Amino acid sequence: MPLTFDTTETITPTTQRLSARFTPCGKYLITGGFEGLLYRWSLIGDERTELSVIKGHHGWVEAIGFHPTESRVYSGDSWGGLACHDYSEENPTTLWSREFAHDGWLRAITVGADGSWLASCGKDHSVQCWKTKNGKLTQRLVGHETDVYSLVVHSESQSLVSGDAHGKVIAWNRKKGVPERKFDASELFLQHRLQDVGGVKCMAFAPDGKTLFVGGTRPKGGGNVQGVPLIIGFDWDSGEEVFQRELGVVGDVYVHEMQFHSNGYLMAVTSGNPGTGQLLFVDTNAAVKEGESEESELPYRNNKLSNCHSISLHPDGQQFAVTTTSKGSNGNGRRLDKDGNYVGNHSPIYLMQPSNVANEKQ
Amino acid sequence: MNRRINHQASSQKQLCTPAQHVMSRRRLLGSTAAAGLLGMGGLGGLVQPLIADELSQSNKQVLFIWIDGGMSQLESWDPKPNTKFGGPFRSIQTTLPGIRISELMPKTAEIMHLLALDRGVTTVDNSHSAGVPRIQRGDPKDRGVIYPYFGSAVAKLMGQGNSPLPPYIWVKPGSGGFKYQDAGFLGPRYGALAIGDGQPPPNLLLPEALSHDDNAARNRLRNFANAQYAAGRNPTFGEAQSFVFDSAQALMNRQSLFSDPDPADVELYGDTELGRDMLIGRKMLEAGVRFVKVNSYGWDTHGDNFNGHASLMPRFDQAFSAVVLDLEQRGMLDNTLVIAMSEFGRTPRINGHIGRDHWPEAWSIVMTGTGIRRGVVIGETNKTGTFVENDAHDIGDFFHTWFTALGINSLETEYLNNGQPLPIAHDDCKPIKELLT
Repeated sequence: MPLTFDTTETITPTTQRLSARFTPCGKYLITGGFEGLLYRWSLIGDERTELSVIKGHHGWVEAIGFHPTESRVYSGDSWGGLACHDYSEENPTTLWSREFAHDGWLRAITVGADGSWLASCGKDHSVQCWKTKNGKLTQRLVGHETDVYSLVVHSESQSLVSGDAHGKVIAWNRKKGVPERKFDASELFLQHRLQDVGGVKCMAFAPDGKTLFVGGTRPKGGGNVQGVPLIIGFDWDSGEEVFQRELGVVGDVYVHEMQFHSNGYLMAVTSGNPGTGQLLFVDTNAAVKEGESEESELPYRNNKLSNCHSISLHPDGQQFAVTTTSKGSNGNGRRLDKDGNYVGNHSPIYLMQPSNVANEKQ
Repeated sequence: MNRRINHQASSQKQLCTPAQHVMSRRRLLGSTAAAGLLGMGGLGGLVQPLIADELSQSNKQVLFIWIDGGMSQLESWDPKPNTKFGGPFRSIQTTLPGIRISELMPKTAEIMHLLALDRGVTTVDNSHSAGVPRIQRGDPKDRGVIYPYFGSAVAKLMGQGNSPLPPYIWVKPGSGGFKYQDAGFLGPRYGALAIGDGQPPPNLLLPEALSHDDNAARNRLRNFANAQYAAGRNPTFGEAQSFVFDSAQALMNRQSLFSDPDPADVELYGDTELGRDMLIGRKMLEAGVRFVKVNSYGWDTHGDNFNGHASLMPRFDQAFSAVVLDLEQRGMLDNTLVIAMSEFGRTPRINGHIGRDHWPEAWSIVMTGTGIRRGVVIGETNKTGTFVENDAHDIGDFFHTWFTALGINSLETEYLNNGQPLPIAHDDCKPIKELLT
């Protein structure tokens, strides 16, 4: 029976967002914005209420992580700031913050399973570990030679893994503070003239922990970056590449985020040329048979969404949220609205779930 | 008041028609006086030959850094951090009090006191196909004739000076060769000799087996063939052919321009495509080339603009700051006009591919060197960087400014195009006094 999904709701922020995350309690959806703000929606009840914003950041807020059991959100911004707030408060106060956690763009945050530590990474080529309780820096991991884009933690061993702009992936020995193993995902990188193109945009472990998946693009060129969305899988024990899947055409460009759904498929979202976006469910156990296109292997593909930048699974294991960018987002020269204002884009967020779940609820 | 040339109205009212130029008294007099000079300087001559003689003795040079595709003003010269269109990056303090630029340009921030920055640039064309030529020809609007690129204009107006080398060299990635199209109505002689991928023109070295006498005999044969070819044809083409050949021969005697660079220079300029070409550009200036254009490609960041600029800008920053400092330390900056610019800026609005599109409405141009006031920032955009507040400057204003900086009276000097006097910079524009010493 083919997979089908229904959009249950669309949340429409008035400005652009690059990420949206369900809190572990499932009662809130939190998104980061372009003006140093975190936005919250209450998911309690039938109406989606936008709550007061969380201030204190600068620039873009993309990196968002949560304590697994306490109502704490950890967020990082593009000026290098890192902060902790209680997202359940009516007007969240800052529990702690580090204005210069990184020198420049803080790209990703991941939180350890027991909630005692978190890791961050960014433009300063470093991965840093912090106590979640008070924001104390406990470790600075050095080994990348360029911007570090993404982080993931192995669910059992709690190994910390980081991926960078040049396709280098490092599994860290946190006790010794040194790289333990490296994975070569340089297929995700291209030096084009003066530009570094691509990099490891996202990572995810298979539910059984045996395979590490990294996502990005197979880059074709810089400037107006073009490439084919690509996911590569590495055997966690041997480090060998065991999986590779292109997920579209050149203009589809990046796999921006991926996460395993409770149905066992790898959910991935892509964003490329303005207006193009895909929501994909990938069977990572299925090999592409000879004579079949890779496309035919996908259990689900939705290419009607526009520029999908993040996907977040609800703690119920069924629902998920896809962050997109409004259609018609591009164009050269001045485009003014009917009142003569120069307006920006916005980011519809689609709340979706499997059709059978929706039917059961009805 | 935002001064924009009314391009629609001007197509009827202000466009420079041949009749208007002929009817101008000043130009009519100039035209009469210079009528006998036609044919001496290619298709396009100069109304004032004495001025041309004087300019040819000038030691002023130009380094024109062309960032092809459109550098984002918001990720470079005019950051608007923490605003909805401002992007992810911080701004940093420069050596000019109160002036901040993008954090992606730390080296340039250290030499800001040497630069003149105009953040109030407003132009018309939002496509590459129109913008690249029109900006480099100084055309705020169509002028009815194909004007020369700035390099060709300087080559024409100032000549080779005391150097036998070509007056207009274009250092670029990709292919080289002679690019006559740049010259517009001036005629092919004033085109650009392009140095592609840092490589000298093909066949730069004489074959070892060729003796001096054999080479001389070969040249006599070539001259004979050229004369045969030129007979009965427009003299400008034969003249251009001979000029280019002679210039190329002069390059043959300067092989050191293409030798492996000093490692210290590579470290200073950056081991990148732009660093390499900027270094070649400096060597060309040292060798006496009048106008050097250094070209960087790959800046059309419709997609992934911010990750793109995160690596593009530091590499530009290094090469640009290095060449400015290098020219200053060599005592060359006082005689060299340095300009860095694109065909337009990039949209404040961030599209779905996290890119910025083409934006001629509000962008920035930076310059320094001869005739330019240093440590000055003019022009201003609004809080979100969408539009220019107060006086905006169009490309015609910059052509007036740059000609003035080179000692050329842009309001008086005129080309002769088949007997037609034409202003060297647009009639509707004028020099930007705040940028000039």
